Amino acid sequence: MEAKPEQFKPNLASASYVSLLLGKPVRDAQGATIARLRDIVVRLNVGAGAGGYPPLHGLVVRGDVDDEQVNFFVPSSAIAALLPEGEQAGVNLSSEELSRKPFVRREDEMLLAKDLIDKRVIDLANRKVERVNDALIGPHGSHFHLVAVEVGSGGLFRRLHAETLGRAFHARDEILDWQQVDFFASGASGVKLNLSHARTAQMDPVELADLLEEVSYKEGAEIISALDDETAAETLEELPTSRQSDIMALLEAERAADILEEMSPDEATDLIADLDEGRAENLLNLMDADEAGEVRDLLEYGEHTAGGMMTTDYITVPQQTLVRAVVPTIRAELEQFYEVYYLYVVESAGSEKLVGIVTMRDLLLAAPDLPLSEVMERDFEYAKPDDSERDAARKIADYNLLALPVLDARGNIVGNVTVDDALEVFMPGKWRRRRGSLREEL
Amino acid sequence: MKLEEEKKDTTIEVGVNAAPVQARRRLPLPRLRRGGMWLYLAALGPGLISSFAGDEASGITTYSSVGAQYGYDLLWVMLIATLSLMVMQEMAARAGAITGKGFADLVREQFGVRWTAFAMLVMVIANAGITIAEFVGIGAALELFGVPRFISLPIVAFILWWLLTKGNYRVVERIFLLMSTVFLAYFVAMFLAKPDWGAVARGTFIPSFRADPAYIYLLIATIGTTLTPYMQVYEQSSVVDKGVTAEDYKLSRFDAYAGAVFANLIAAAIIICTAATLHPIGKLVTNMNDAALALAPVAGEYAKNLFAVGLFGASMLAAGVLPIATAYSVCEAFGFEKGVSYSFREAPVFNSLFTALIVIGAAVAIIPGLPIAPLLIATQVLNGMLMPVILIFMLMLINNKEIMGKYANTRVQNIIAWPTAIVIILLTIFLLISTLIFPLFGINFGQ
Repeated sequence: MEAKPEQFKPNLASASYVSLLLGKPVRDAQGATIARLRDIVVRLNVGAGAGGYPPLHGLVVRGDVDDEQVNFFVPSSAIAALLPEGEQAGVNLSSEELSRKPFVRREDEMLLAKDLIDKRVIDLANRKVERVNDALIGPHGSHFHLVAVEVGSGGLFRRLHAETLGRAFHARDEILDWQQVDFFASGASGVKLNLSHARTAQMDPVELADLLEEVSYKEGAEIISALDDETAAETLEELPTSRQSDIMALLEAERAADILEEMSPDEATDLIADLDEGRAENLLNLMDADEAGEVRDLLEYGEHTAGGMMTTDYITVPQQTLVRAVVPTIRAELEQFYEVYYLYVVESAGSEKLVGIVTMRDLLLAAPDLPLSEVMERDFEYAKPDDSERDAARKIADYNLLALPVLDARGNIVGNVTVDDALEVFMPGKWRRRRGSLREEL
Repeated sequence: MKLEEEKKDTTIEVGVNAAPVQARRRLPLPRLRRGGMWLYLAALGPGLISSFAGDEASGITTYSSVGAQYGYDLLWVMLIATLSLMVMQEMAARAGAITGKGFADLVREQFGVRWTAFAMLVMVIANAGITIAEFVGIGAALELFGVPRFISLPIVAFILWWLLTKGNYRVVERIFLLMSTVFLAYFVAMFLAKPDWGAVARGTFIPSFRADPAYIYLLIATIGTTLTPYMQVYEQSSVVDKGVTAEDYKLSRFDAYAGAVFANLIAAAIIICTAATLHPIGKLVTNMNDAALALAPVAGEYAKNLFAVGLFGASMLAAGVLPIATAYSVCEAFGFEKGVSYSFREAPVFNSLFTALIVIGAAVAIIPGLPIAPLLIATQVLNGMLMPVILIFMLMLINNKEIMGKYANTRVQNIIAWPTAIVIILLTIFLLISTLIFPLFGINFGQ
């Protein structure tokens, strides 16, 4: 992307606002008006030469062709000058012969008025979704490029022809360099725009989730499909379940299954439970058998029970294990899980019967040659799968726990409820995320 | 599986959760979503709420006036308005589900800044009118309990503002909703009032029309209070917020239809009640005491209190939803920061707009000696006149194949929706001509 030799730094002073050009007369070499400017076409994905600033490809103009008003295309080579303001405002053409065939869109051609202005874009520097009020095109050598968009209230008042009113409100232009902007291909109808969303994909999952809550589910799916499986999974986990399933429903089934495998089993379960049955079964079948099995197990529990909120990401160790042997053996599992709060000590190898719990602190302080049975806490709190989620969460709060094991009737461990899931039970809806929706405001 | 391989070291055993998965597979999985009636019942949300909020102060006053003044004559309007409302609510739900975007969003993206400014101006004016009506309703309800408006309204306005910005409005919203369910009493009152059912049927199925400004005025008010622009906008927002998509939008369609029918059944019951009780004795509705009389068959001397409770709940419900929803739409369209969790400095437009709507609503409603019933009806006439503007935007959006794809309007939907817009525009023009221009030339219709 970095084109070292001819690094293109746009000069905003020489750039013009697209909104000022639209609707202006288009004149031939003799100065006669032949049409009016309808739209400006730039080309995406043209390679490194332009430094990522899409070059002007041509104009869509509306004028007489055989006594009929038609939209036709004017290639950029035929443009002599773009004059946004003054008495001569408009487009002056060179003497190049025009084909005047009706305009037809092609892949990777973006129309600035139709696809970009008034649509939403991602402001990558400030990690915000912004509404585009105007676009700027500027010269680079002999060629014009899309160099920036305007998202401030200044552009709003200018387009309403109310600059005087704008000044009264201290309206200002806010110009975002095109390099700092990502936009949605789903906004452009009837044509395919290939966007990598590479720069958006570098954001962290929490920021991505904030952005995804502000855009439509289709735009959300577009971003999610541009992420790697792990980031996609982490981002989805930050979103409300209904949003997750909307986005999932738009992804290719294979891709959706890959992302589900990366999610923690309890989150994946909530998501799958929110899909319709056919899709859910389809995804479960596409998923890796182990992961799918965990989800199927979790799906057996009611939504608002300890079983419904627990995760199956936890580590069990037989009580005979020596302290010094613990870390080397569980290393592989530790790498898989984001958080490990406690070690669950089971009766023997292959057994799931929980006999004690070892905290990470106890493990670090314990003498290396002791077996875990000497170190573990035998008197522990637990929940049953059918306990209500409030009871389980309350236990975590009352006993200051980081996690609570969930045991079946025979005392076998089937899952564990973590403190962050417990927090969600008690947290008022408004606190979970600041950027809410209208429904959350009320 | 993994366990087996690691058994060589006898002291170290690690099991990551479950035994082999296949052994534990037990179907069916109760949490998987299945179709069926309960899903439809669960979907009854936004539609019902927005339709309940539609039967508020001005709605009840308008319907009461219609029955008192013209008996069963205008019931046919309710039949047509119900059909129109069903189509409009369904379109709003569909646009929300297919695009995942709100109404203001779509208008901005498809029509640009200037048309958006126009649409938003129309919506702010219409919604400001209804907000005023809601505060008039709140004031009137509390006056029925003997609390004067100049005391109650400033307090209520402040509490409402506080609840919306600092408190948890959702909780109190349920209380208001519960209070407004007392209007279900109109169904009972309707039967106890022993209306002439033959006349009811004639009024419903045989349209009558009079070229009389007063008649057209109430006709537009009835349409205006039934088909409020904000209901469509609110419906679309809630469908988007609920995360309804093209796949599960059938449920929302059911919700939209059910809400429309239900709201207008209550409206029809109100008209029948007043037609049976007030119309025969020639009593017109000039204040809330008159309107409350229609509940006398069911509540006797307590009719006033029952009516006041319902009026208070319904008006509070709408007075909370409207200012926020309006400010939300405007900010959505223009890309301003929005949300009650932002301070005035962070989201100046959002906060000033919704605060201003509450202040204006309460301030106008507090003016002493207000002609309450005429004012409430006037806000609905305004609404009826502005409704076609929003409806035309909606129709253009929903017929746009580029954004709606195969979910664009069908011919039948257009056959109901376009005439609704055109007829209301014609009625509005007629009303303006007959009340403003003809009198200039000494011509007077009716009266």
